[in-house]
Amino acid sequence: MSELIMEQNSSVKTVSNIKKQLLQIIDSEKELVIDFKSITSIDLAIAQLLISAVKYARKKSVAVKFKNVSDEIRNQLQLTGLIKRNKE
Amino acid sequence: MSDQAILEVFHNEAREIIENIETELVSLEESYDSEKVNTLFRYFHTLKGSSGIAGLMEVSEFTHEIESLLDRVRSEEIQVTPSLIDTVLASVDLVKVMIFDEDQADGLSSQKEKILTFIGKNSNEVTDSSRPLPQKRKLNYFRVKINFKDNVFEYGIDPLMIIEDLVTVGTVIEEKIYRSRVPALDEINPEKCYLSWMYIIGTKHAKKKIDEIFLFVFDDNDIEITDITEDYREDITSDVNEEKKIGNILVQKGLITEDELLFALSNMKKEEKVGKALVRLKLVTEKDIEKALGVQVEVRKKIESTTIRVERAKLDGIMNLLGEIVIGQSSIVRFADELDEDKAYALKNSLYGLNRSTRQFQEQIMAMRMIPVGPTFSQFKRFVRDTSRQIGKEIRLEIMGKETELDKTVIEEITDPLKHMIRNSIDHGIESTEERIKLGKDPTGIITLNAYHQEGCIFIEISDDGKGLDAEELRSIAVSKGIIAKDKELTEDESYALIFKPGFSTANAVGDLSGRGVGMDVVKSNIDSLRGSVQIITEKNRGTTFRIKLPLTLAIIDGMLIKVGKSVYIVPLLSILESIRPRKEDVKTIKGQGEVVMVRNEYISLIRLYKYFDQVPAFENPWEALVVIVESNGEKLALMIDDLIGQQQIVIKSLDNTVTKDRSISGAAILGDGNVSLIIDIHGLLSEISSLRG
Repeated sequence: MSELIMEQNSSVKTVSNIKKQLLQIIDSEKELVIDFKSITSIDLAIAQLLISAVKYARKKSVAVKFKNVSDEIRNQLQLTGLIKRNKE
Repeated sequence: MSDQAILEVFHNEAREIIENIETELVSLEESYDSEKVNTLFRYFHTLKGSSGIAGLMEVSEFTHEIESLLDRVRSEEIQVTPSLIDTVLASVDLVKVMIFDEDQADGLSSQKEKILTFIGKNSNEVTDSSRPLPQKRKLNYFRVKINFKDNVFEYGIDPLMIIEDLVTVGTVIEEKIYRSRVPALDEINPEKCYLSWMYIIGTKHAKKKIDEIFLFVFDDNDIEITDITEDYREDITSDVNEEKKIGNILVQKGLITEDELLFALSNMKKEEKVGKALVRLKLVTEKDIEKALGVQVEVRKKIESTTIRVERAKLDGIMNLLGEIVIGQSSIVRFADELDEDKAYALKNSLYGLNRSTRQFQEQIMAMRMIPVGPTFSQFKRFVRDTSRQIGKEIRLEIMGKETELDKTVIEEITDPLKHMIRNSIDHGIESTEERIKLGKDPTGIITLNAYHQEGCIFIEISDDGKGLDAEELRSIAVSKGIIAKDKELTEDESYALIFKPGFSTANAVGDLSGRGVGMDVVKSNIDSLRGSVQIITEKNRGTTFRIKLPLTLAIIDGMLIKVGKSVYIVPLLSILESIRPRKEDVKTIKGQGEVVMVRNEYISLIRLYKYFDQVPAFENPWEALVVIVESNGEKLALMIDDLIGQQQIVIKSLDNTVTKDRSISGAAILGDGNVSLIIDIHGLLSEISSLRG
């Protein structure tokens, strides 16, 4: 298991770097945990990268878990379809 | 009428109004609707007026207070709350006592005081302290398709923030997030945007609010915001009375627009179903079709459980029977006239209630025959699209008033004339694309179909934003074609009406569509045979509107009973302009025109109906008899009659051609005394007379 902590400045500016880290973990580990404790929101580039990572992880049979997801981030992930919206 | 008789009539009316008020109040408590408040207001207004006439001033003054209260609710100054409903109900109870049990009314002053206090200075306080009832707000619905450019991030834009703004503007009804384009991690360029969205949003805001959200990205990205309020249905399965097609369900769910549906329909492969075509054209997903099929099944089940199909002939049968009842009632009224005054009052009073029930019964049956014009109008969309393309014009059909209801028979009869008029607008009304550009107009011409109820009739308007009619041009064409004499003077309206003359055509060359001069005259006579009329409103370079006025139903007309010799005939009230007794010097004979009557400096052909119908008249001189001025198609006639009997609702019985081929008779009706009376068709009479004159 390996953990990736999303850093405070995670955005389109750092997305290429995060991609590399994610690739490295998925290619070598059986489980990926992404921790959002340091950030309160994400941008679309990050959200999209996470979709892409989940797709890749599924291909490689690597489990992906999200940790410390704030309400704001949950909402943002829902808007990209990565997390299903709870039926109201 | 004696005071007592007036009071009895008022009691009958009041009883009915109060019952309606109570029903409406309870319904208002269940769910708020501004129309219910309006209805209640009208009931109290009527009650106020009638009680005043009946001399019950106290009731009139009290109901005035409640009317004022409802007026404030109407203007949204105060809200509907349970305590408001309680108060109005209590006031109804009080009114009942005041009207029907006057002796008890004195003891109720404290209650009255309480109600008036509520209505008066304390009303706001009381209403505010109790919970307002849920208000039914009208929402606008929008379909928003969002497809950002691949390099959108380079511009410092975070699309996610825009999406967040969008979903907070109202309620998300449908959300589609297209993720399939997002590559897996080993292939993704993380600085490119791959996601796209489709939202259906219900909001109280106008489109401007949504436009503002996309203000800075609209031009450079593929953003489509469509107002689908008119077509969108929150609950497709509620209030349905006919099966729904998949395409319509998708339109009503807001997933596709009507234009997209038409596009799919006209691009369907052989034996392909519309659902498949929509998926192939990437307008919807397979899942959308599956869901729509589910809705279709649900609708079908609902129809099966809540409706029964009745043959139209059976409804017509009930209508005819009801006609007999109306006739029976009129006979009883005639009988009442022969009784002494007191008994006559008593009988007429009882008949008053029966009359109301019969009228309601009649309205209910009529309602069963009514269907909305929407589907008929919608079928023209494809027609406009195809025919305008065929002649190389860009024309869009816009539809308004889809929900307007009209007798099924009238809809069937009006479809062809409408189609021809639309075709006429496509061909002659809307300019070519080049011409429009030259005139600084939008290259796409617009034809609008609109339907609405007014004055107890239905109006259908066909408008185009084309070149408009040119009275002078129409006149000279008519002269060149020998339709009118060279020296004939015409008003502008009369010149416009020339397009309805047989053999008239404004097209320079005979086109594929219209332009043969056949059609508009047929259109006009079709509308006439429906007892309708057409008005032309036109403005150069702004366009033309044909306003068709039709009766709500073909089964009943308001008729004027006239006497000619010993027979009674019926003239549709819609055709009558006035009735006069001409002066002797105003009746003349003009060469080539026959007998005429001068009415306000206008000579109108005089028809001695007794001669036409072969009757022995009471008067042979028009200045001793009466003359009814009628009009059809802009042409007037003066019908000489012996007497006007009165106005009456007439249930029409059709006569087949074996009875009469005379076009001047459109049907018959049975009168209160059991006698049969013929209904005169003014348009037909004009045609018969012109063919008699050769």
